[in-house]
Amino acid sequence: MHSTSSTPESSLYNRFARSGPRRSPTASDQNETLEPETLEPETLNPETLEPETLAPEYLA
Amino acid sequence: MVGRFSDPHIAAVDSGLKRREISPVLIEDIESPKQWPWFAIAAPSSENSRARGLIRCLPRSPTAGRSALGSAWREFTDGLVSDPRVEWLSGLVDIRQADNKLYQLALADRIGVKHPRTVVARTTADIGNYIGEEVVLKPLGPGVINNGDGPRVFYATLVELSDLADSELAYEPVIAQQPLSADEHLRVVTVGARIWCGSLSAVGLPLDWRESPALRWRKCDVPRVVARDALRLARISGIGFLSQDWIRVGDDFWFLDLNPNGKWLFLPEEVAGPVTDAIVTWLANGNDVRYN
Repeated sequence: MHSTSSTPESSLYNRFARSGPRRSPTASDQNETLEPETLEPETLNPETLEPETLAPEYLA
Repeated sequence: MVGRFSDPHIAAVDSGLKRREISPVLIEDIESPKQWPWFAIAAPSSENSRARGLIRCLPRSPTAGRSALGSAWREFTDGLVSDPRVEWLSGLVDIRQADNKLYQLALADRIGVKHPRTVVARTTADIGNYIGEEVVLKPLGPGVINNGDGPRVFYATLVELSDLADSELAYEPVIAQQPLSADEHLRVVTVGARIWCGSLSAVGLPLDWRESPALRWRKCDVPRVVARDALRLARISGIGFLSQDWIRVGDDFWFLDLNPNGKWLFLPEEVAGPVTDAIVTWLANGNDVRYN
């Protein structure tokens, strides 16, 4: 079985991942427009994501 | 409430409750042994029997991962936020299930809601046969990559099949979807049987609107077919608060995905305010916004 732990830097997912948009510091929607992906990834799916991965909503 | 006070959504609901002279309990990250919020089973049932809850973001615990201690913390925090004596606007199990993109699309498919052709396949040939030579790729899961050089996001991306290799697909399951040229994005929010909608012109925007640095959402009336199907999806998924992403292509509306705990404060105040108020009202009064 090919587990994520053996491929910490996945090629396809890594290849298509991009930095979040740079927003105007005055934009009222700052931090709000990245996918509101709900629960913390590491606790939502703790078996497959890096423990310290941040949810997208905290990226901007 | 389960989340972080630094989250403006939690802060907005907290303010709304306090205006009604209700002081919510907030279960936040547990960063030190002194911050345990409750004992799960020892909490007096008389207190919890009248409680209603909102799960926004699971608490981070001091130890994560696969270790025995990580599992113990996860069990503890899961136990806290799935207390059956609390009536949750959306329950933990339902949120987790509804968060799965394949589940969402299968649900939409089952009830006849229009959605893009979607496949997770091991080879480009399989994708090509089902969709064509050009596809939209989306991650399964949040798609956040962190290789130590800062977090990056796998946004929905239009690709040619020739850009993909079977050796990648076989090891990295990914969603491939029929490309659609959106005229308008719709963000549909439901709280129980109530529904609101924000719209965003797709003109000049990247395929995935989250990549745009400036977005001009406006309140709009919910198109009739969208309202009908969005409420059906909300009801069948059992999610009390739900954000759905739809697009308009010409005169047709297509369901893209749903977020069982999505943000709503980026929408115009005419949408965001009533959504916050509906959540506050449900937490304060109970079932007046639920389906039954």
